[in-house]
Amino acid sequence: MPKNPLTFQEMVLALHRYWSARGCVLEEPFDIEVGAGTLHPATFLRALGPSPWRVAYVQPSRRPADGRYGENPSRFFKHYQYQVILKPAPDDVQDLYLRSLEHLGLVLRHHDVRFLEDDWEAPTLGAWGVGWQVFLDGTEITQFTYFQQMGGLDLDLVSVELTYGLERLAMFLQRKARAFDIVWTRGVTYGDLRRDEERQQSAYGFEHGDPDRLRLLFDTYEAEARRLLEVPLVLPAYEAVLKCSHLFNLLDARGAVSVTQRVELMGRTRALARACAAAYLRAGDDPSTAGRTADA
Amino acid sequence: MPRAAGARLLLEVGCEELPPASVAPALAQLARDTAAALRAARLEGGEPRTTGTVRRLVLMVDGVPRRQADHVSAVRGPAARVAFDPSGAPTAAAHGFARAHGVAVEALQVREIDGGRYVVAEVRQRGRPAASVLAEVLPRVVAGLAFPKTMRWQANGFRFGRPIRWVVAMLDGRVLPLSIAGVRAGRATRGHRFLGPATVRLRDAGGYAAALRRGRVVLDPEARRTRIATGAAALARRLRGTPAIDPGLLEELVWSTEHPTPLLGAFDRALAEALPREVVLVTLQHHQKSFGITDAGGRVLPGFIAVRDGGAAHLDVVRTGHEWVVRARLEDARFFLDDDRRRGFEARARELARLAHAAGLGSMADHVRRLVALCGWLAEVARLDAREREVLARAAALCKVDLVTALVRELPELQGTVGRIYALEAGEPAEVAAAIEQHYWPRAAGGALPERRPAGLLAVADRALLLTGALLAGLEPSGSQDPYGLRRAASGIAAVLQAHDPGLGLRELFAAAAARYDVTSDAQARAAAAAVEVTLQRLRAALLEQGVAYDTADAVFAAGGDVVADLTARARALQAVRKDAAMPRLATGFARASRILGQAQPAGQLDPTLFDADAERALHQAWEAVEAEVARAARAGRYDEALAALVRLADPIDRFFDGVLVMAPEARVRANRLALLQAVTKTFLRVADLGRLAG
Repeated sequence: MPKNPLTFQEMVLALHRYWSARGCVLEEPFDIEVGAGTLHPATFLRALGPSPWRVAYVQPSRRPADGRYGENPSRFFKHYQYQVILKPAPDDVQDLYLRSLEHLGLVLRHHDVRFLEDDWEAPTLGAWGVGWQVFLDGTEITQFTYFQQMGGLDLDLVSVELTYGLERLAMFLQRKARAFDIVWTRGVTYGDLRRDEERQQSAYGFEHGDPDRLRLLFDTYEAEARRLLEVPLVLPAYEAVLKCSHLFNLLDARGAVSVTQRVELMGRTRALARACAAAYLRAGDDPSTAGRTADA
Repeated sequence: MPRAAGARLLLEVGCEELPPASVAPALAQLARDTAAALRAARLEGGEPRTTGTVRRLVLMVDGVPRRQADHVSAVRGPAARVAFDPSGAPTAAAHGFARAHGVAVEALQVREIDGGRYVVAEVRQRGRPAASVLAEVLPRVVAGLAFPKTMRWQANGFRFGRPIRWVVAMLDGRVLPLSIAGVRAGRATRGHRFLGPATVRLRDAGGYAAALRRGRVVLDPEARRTRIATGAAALARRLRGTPAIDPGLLEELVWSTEHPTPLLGAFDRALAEALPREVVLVTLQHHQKSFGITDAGGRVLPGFIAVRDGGAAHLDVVRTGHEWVVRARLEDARFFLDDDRRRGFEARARELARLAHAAGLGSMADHVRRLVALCGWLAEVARLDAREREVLARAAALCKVDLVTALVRELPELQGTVGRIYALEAGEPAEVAAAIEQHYWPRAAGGALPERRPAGLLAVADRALLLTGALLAGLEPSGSQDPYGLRRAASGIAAVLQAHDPGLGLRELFAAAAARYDVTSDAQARAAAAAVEVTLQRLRAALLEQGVAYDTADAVFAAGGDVVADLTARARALQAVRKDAAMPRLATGFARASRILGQAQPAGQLDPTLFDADAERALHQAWEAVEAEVARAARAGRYDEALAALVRLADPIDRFFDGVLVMAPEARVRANRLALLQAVTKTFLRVADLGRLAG
C-alpha cells in the first residue's frame, strides 16, 4: 500500500492528468440530476454515431432509494463516479485501465486485481453492454463495460465505459472503513462536506417528497421533452428526459409507485430516451448541429 | 516426440476475461468441432484435446498429417452408348469429358449407375499442405464457438464471448498463416497478467506447456481445482474447521483464475455469533467469492478463505483488503438484520403490494392472495388434517414476506431461509417456519425436497401459479430462453409430486391454478393444458435421469394418466421387469393384439358362449383372473404386482394367436374375439402401452 495515500481530490486530479494525457476531453459534471455518469450527454449521446470520442469527468450521481441518512458506511443518496469513455475501444484498453491504477500509487503485483464477469443494463435508457466489475483485494472499484446498445440502437463504434467508484477507491487507498472518514484534502473529510446533505436529502426522498407534485412535474417534463423533440431541439429535450428519470427515482424511493405504474413510468422514460437517441443520430452526431432546427 | 507420426498442432485463442461459466462448454465444443473439421478436411490425426483458463482457449492435436490425404472421386459422364461408338472407340463426347476432368480418354471406365451404363472418370485431387488447409479451417471453428451471450468490440462486427487479443497458431515450429477476429496468429503467448512475463515466444508447438509454466499460468483446470480445494482445507484446519465449499463457487473460481492461491482471513468472533449461519456463509460467498469455515457442529467460525489470482508474495496486503471488506459486509448484514427486526415480520406483508411478480402477473400481494386460495383447495383435495391445514394456510400467507426485507434484497439467494429465521423470531410454529423455507425446494435439480406435506403442497401451488400465470401472459419458454424459470418450476412440481402424492392429476391442479386468474375460461383451459404438457415433459426428463429407459417412459406415457406419482410408479415398475424373459413375448403379443384391433370393430359386449376354441377360452379365463389382480394392484399403486400378473398372460396370448383365427369368417365370432383382445389390451394399458417398447 502507498505510504502517503492520495486525498480524494488528489485522486481525481491524478485521474484527470492520466486520462488527459491519453487524449480525453476533461468534461465537467452534468448540471442536471442523474443516477449515473452514463446519463451525461457526453456518454449517452456521444456513444451514438460513427465519430471517435474520448472523455473523462466526475459525475455526482443521485440514487434516492440508496439514501441512508448518512448512517450506513457505504450507501448514499449521492455518490461520485469517475467516468471515462473511449470510443472506439482501444485494443489495449485493459492495460490502459490498469496503468491508471498504478498512477494512483498502487503496485498491482502486490494486490489481487480481478475482472469478474458483470454485464450492464439500463432498461430506462434502452442500453446494455458486457464487461466486468473490477475487484481490488475483494473491493469492487470499477465497472468496465463495452457498450452494445444505447437508446435501443446498435452502436456503430463500440465504446468502453470505465466507471470508477471514487468513494470505494478512496476508502481502499486510505484504509477507511466509512466513506465519511475519507480525507478529501488535508484537514477536511468527506463527511464534513457531505453529512448534512445526506441527512437532508434522505429525509426529502423518504419522508417529505410530495408524490402528487412529483407526478405533476414528471408529466410536465415529459410534455416538455415531447414538445422539444417536435422542434427538434434534441439537447434540451434530452435534459427534460433526465428530469423525468430523476423524478421517477424520487417517486420510487418515496414508495409512491405501484407495480403497474412502475412499468408504465419506466416505459414512458425509455420511449423518450429512444426518441432522443434517434433524433440525435438523424441530426448527425455533432452536438453543434444536433440542436438546430431542420430549416435553419 | 516421433516426428514421423505427424505434426503437433497448437492453437491458443487469447481473450480478455471470458465469463467463467462459458469456458468449459466452449472448450468442449472446440474439441468436438475441430475433430469434425479435421475429418472433413482429410487431416485426421490424434484426438483433439482442449484446455484453458478464463483468458485462453487452447487446442492441441498430435499426429496431424503434413498434407491432406489425396482425394479420389468418381465423376459420372455421358451414357456409355453416347461415349463409345458401336466399334467401342471413344466418341467426341468421351474425349471432351476426359479433357474436362484432366484424365486420359483410355482411363475412362464404364460403370452401372442407377440402372444405366455410364462413363466414369476417376479424378484424383492432390492433397494440399496441412498448414494452408488449417489456416482456413481453424478460424471457422473458432468463429463458430457458442457463448450464452456474445458481444462486438470492433468495427468488423466479429462476435465472441469477450474480445480476442492474441492468437498463437503453430504446426510444429511453423506459424500458421491465419487471423481470427482480425488478430494475426503468431508464436508469442502471454503469461499470467501480473506474475508472468508479458510475452513468451514459442520455438515450437510442443513447448507450450513449458512456456506457460514460465508464465506462471496453471493451465490444467483440475490442477487449479486441487490448489483451491486442498489449500482451503489445509487453511481451515488452522481454525479446527472445514471450509464450506459451495460447488458452484469452486467451479467459478477454477474458471476465473490462472494461478489461484487461497488465503485465510479472519473477522470478529462477535459477528460470527450475532449473525445466522446462512447469512455469514452467503455474504462471504455472494459478495466476496470466499468460503466460510464451520466447525464439526456446523457452527460458523470467525474466518474465511478467499482465493487470490496470483502468487504467495505480498499475501498479507491482499488478506488485509479482504478482511476489511468482509468486516464491512458483515456489519452491513447486521445493520439490515437489526433494521428488519425493528420493523417486524408479519407487518411487512403490506409491502408485497409494491413488489412485482413475474411480468404481467401483478404484484406479489396478488400472488399471495391466489396462493392462499389455491392452498385452501389443495388442503381439501389432499385431505390434510386440521393441524396441517393450519400450517399450510399460515405458511402460504407468510412465505413471500421475506422478499421485502433488507436482508433478502441484499442477499437474494437467502429467500426462504431468511423467512424461516424471521418467522421463528416472530414466534411462528416451527412447522410454519420450515414450510416457508422449504416451499422453494428443490432449489436445484436433484436438491432436497420439502419434508412434510404442507411444505410440499405450498411448493406445488407456488409453482403452479407461476407456470399457468406466465403461460397466460404469453411467456412460454422457447429454445434455450426461459427467463422466468418456467421449466425449472415444472421440474420442481414433478419432483415434489413424486415425493408427496396428494392423489391429484396435473389437469385438475393446473385447471385450479389457472382459475385463480381473471381471464376467460378458454384462456384458462389453454394455459392449463400447456402447463400439463410442460410438466409431463419435465417429468419424462426426470425419469430418464433416474434411470428409466426412454422407451419405458414412452410406453407408460402413451397409456395415459396425469398423476405424477402414478406415472412414476408405473415407469419404475416397468423398468424393473424389462429384463424379464417373458417381456419380449408379452410386448409382441400386445402389439399384435393392438394391430388387429386397429383393423376391425370389436363387439360391444364380450360373450363367452360364442367361444369355440380352447385357446380362446383359456385366454379368457386367464385374463379374468389377471384383470382382477391388476386392477387391485394398480389401485394400490403396486405396479410390480400388476406386471407380475400381466406376465402370466404371455403364454395364453401366444397360444391364442397360434391356435385361433381372429378374423373368423362369421361376423359375430370375429367381433367377439376382437372384444376379448380389446379387454386384454385394456388391462395392459392400466400400466403401459407395451407396443412402444423397442426390441
